[in-house]
Amino acid sequence: MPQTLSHDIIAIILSTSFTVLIISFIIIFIVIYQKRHQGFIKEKADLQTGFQQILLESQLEIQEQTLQTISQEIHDNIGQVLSLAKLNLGTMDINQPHQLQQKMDDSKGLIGKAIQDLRDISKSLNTDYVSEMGLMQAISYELEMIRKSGAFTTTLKTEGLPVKLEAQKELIIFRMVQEVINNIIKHAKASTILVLLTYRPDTFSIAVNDNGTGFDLTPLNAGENSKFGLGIRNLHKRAQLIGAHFSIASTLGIGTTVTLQLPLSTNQASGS
Amino acid sequence: MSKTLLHTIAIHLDIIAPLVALFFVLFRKEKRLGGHIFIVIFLLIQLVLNSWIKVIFHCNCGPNIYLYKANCFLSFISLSLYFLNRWKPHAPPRNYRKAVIAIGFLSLTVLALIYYDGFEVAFNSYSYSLVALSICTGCILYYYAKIKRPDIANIITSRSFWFVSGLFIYYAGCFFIFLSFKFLTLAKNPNASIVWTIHNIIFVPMCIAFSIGFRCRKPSHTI
Repeated sequence: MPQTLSHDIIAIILSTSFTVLIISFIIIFIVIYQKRHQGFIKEKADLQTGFQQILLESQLEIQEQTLQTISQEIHDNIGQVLSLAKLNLGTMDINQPHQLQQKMDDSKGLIGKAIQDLRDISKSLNTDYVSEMGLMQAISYELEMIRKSGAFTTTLKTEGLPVKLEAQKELIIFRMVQEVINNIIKHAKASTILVLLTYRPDTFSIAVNDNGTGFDLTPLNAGENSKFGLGIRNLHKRAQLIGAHFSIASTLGIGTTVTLQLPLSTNQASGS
Repeated sequence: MSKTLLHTIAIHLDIIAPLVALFFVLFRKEKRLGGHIFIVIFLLIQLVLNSWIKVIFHCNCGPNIYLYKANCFLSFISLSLYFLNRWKPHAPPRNYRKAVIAIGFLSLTVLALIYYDGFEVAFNSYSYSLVALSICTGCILYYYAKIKRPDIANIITSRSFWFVSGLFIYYAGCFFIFLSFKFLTLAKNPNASIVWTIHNIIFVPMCIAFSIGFRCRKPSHTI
């Protein structure tokens, strides 16, 4: 075998080695790219499954909440009104025509109120009432039910031109609002609840404000979510799933504001 | 191991490597070969023609250049059929017909290059280079399709990926060897055999990739 190689041979060997190297890099790149792509597809599918699961959970929770509200409403309101009407009718004295007329009028009024309340309740028996009524109406109805209890003053305000969001997102947002209001009722010791819906061309935001005792946010900001239980973690998780930003601002003795900001797509922003 | 023995093994790698790959065909995990039969045919062509070439060379029975030319043409046909078979389920019938016509045209060009080069002159760099370019184009199109529309969960579990990668390494790696070999032999370069030994060495990764491919099971598809 000859000891020295000609320049031609060296050039061929070098170009061949270089080509093999490049080809190897291309093949490795394709394998890595394909793996990452598959990872991305899997992540997307998991996210989709998670979204569907949260949606289903939200639907079930809304139904549960509705049934609780109805049960309370029937017991505390309609039941009381009908008992009063029954009492009125039972204490009628035919010998006292003036009082008789008064009691009949009172009973008519009470039964009328019971009928109106039953009508209101029947609306919420429809399981799809959130998507049928729309987010704003559903929140308005929810606040109305709370106001009727007499323990809270409720206000719903809107800013900007309302737009219809995706039905699934509206459902999740409504459930989040319900959860926040429930927390206010249970823990805030508040007397007023204010819900502000703001529609901007690129974002939709919803703020739920109360004038309750407020709470210390330090553990939450330090990432100690466990102290706040499942509720806040769920709210964060749901906000993430719909691509929204969730924040809480609270001042001890003054109250709490929970805000959810959802970026709007061009289609949503244009279709009111 | 002595240097001479290593050299002997190196010059016979183009027979040993396809033989080993064909051994893996016998013990493949997925029994159904389908369109991959063309890879088996390609390996058989390599094994038979390269062995024949070596026999003629060792017993000094005359020129063996026509066998290289036959190898070039038959390899091109078998691999073109392999790529066409891979592409058929995904291609619209019109595009598929166009590809068949293009491959038919290329086959005629390769045949013409072989014919006009004569059968007793030297190794035909033009036909080999054209075949190498065509096969590399097929490989690139395969990768492009896999990147654009990944249909399997893990590409390294796919037989076709290993086969195409093996072909890509071999044909792209040997392109400059094919292109320059006629020049080297006509110039009577004393080191030309070293280049062909390198060709034989590059033949090994291709056969290893083929062997891995034959050990693959049916890949799971994307979600």
